[in-house]
Amino acid sequence: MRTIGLTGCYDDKGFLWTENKVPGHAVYGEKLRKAMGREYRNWNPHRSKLAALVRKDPTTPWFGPKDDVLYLGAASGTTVSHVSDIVSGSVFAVEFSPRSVRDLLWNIEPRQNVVPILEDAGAPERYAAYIAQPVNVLVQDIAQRHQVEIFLRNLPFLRPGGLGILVVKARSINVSQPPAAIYDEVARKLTAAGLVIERKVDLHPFELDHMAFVVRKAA
Amino acid sequence: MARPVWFEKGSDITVVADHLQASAEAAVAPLAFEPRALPGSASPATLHQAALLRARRLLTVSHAEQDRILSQEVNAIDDLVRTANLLVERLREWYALHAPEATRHVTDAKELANLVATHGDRANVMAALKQADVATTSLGTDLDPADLAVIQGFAAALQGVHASWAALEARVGGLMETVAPNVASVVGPVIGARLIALSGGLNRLATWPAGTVQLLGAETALFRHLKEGTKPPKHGILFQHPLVHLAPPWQRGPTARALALAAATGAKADAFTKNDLRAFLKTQLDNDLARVAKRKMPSRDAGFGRYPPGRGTGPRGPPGAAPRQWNRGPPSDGPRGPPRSFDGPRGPPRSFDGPRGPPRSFDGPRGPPQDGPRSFDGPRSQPPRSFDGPRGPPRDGPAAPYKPRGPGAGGSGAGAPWKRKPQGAFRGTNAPAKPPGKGGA
Repeated sequence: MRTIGLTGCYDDKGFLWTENKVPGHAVYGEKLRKAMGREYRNWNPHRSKLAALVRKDPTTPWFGPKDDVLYLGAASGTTVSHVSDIVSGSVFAVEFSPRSVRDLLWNIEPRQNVVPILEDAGAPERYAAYIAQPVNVLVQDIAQRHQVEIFLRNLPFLRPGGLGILVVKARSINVSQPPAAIYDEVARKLTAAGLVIERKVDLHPFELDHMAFVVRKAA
Repeated sequence: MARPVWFEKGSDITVVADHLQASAEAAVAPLAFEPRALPGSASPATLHQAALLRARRLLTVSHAEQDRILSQEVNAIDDLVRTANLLVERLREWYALHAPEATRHVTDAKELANLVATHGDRANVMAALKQADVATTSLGTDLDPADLAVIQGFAAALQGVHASWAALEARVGGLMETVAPNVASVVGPVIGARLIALSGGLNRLATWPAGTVQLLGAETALFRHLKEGTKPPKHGILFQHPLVHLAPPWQRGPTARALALAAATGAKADAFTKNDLRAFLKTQLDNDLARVAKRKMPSRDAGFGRYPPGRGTGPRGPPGAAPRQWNRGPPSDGPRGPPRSFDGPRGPPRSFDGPRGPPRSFDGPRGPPQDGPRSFDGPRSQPPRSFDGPRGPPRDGPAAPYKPRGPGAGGSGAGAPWKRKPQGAFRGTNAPAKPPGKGGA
C-alpha cells in the first residue's frame, strides 16, 4: 500500500484503494483489505469515473484532505463513499432519482460526513439551505443533455480558486455528433463562464465517449 | 432577502429537516448563494441526520405515488406473459411424452394447464376430453407416479401464473380508472399503464407532446434513425393497440398518430385538470380514424416504403419539389458528408411493362453468308499475320461504321433506351471497329 501523490488514494499491486472510514463495512461489495493497521477499500475505475480519472491522469488536481465537496449525480453512492473516505469535510450528495436515493441512504448512513440531497441538480436554489460555506470541490457526473448548464448553475457554490471536475458523456448531449465536436463546445462554454481548464482527460478505455474536464474557478 | 441556512435553525433534527423542506419549496430560481460563516456550535452530524430525515420523508411520499405502483404492475404483467409462454412450451413437450393426443387436441394454454393439474394422468385427461377410447391406443408412455406428480405441480404453477396475470390485469384496469381514466378510455388500461411506465410517471407523460407519446417504446429505432438515417419509426408501444397493428401498413403511422394525440390529451387532463374528456376524445379519435381510413394504398412509384421492396422512401410531394430531407439538422451542425443516396431523387423508374425492342435472335445469320464450307486446310486468303513482321499499311480514313450484327438489332432507335446497343463511343475512338462477318478467316 503506497500513496500515489493524490490525497486519500493508494496503490497496491496495480489496484486503487481508499482508506475505509467505516472499517469492516463494504458499500457495494468491493474488496476490503488491511494494511499497516488500517483498512482500505478497492476503488474500481470501471465503476467509478472519478477513479478512472485518477487512473488515466495520476497528476490531476485533486481534493485536499479537509475539503467540502458538492457532488452532483450521486446515484447510489458508490463513488460518493470513496469521496467520503478521501475528505474529512462534508460531501453534499445530490441525486434526483428516488430509486437511486433509496440505495444511497442505506450506503451513506454510517458516513457522518455525507449529506444526501434528493433534489434536481438543475435547480440549485432548492438545496441552498444545505450549504452554508462555499465548497472547495464541485464534482459532477450526470448523463443529461444539459449537463454543462447544470454544472454552471452550481458554480456559485464553489469557492473562488476552487476545483471543478465535470465528467461529460458526449452521447448524452448529442448522439449524432462526433464526441470531439461536443468536447470543443463544452470547453468553449466552460471558458466563457470564466473557468480555467486545467486538464481534459479522456476516460477511455474505462468509459466510452466520456471526457473529464478538470477546471479551476478564478480566484 | 436570503433564507436562513440549516444551522440557523438550531440543532433539533426535525426542525432542521422541516426547514430544509420549506426552503426547497419556497426557492426561487436563479440561485442567489450567500456564504455564512459556520459557527463552532454547528455540528455536521446534525446536518447529516436532518438531510437523511428529509430524504426519507420524500422517499416515502414518492413510494406512495400510484403511478409507481401502476408501473410495477404493468411490468409484472409483461413478466408473467413471458413466463407463461415459457412454461406452457415446456409443459406441452413434457406432457406429450405421456399423452401426445391430449396436447395435440388442446391448443389453449390455460385449458391444458387446468387439465393436467386437475386430472393428471392420461386416462383421466382423455376422459375429461370425452375421448376415453383414445387413451387405450395412445402413443405415449406410462409415467411413473412420481413423474406424474412433478408434472402436475408444474402445471399448477402455470395455472398460478395465469391466475396472477388475470388478477393483475383486473387490478391495472381498476387502478387506471382512478389514476388515468382518459388515457385508459383511449388506448385501454394495459397499454395506457405501459405508456405511464415507459414515461416514468403520469406527470411526465402529461408534459410530453403527442409525437413523443407516439414513439414511446421505439427509442432504439428512433435513435438509429437519427444516427444512421434509417427510416423513422411510426409507432412504439402503441403498435400493441389493435387499431394500429390490424391497420394496413400504409395507415399504421397516421393511426398511431391519432391515438397518440388522444392519449396525450387525455394524460394532460388526467394529470392536471382531472376533467372527464372521454366523450370528446372518442369523437376526436373517430374523426381522425375516419380520415385515416380513406388513405389508399400508395402506388408502387409513390415511394411507399415497401413498394418496390428493398427501396428507401423516394421524393414525396408534388413533382419537381425538393426531396424531403429527413436528417439534415440545422446548418450550424458543421460540414457533413455527401448526401445519402436514399434521400436523393431517383432515376427514371424502371418499367417492366413498357415496349421492348424487337427480340434478339440467336438463330439468324451472323454476317454475309459464306460461300461453301469453311476449310482449315485450304489456302488462306491472306498471308498469315505475323507479330514480328511488318504490319500492313496504315489504314487511312475513318474507322468503318458500326453495323448491326443481327437483323433488327438496334439501328432505328426502336425500343426502350436501355435496350439499345451502345454505338460508336462504346468501342472507344482509337479501336477500329471490327468489320462484321470476317470471322477467323
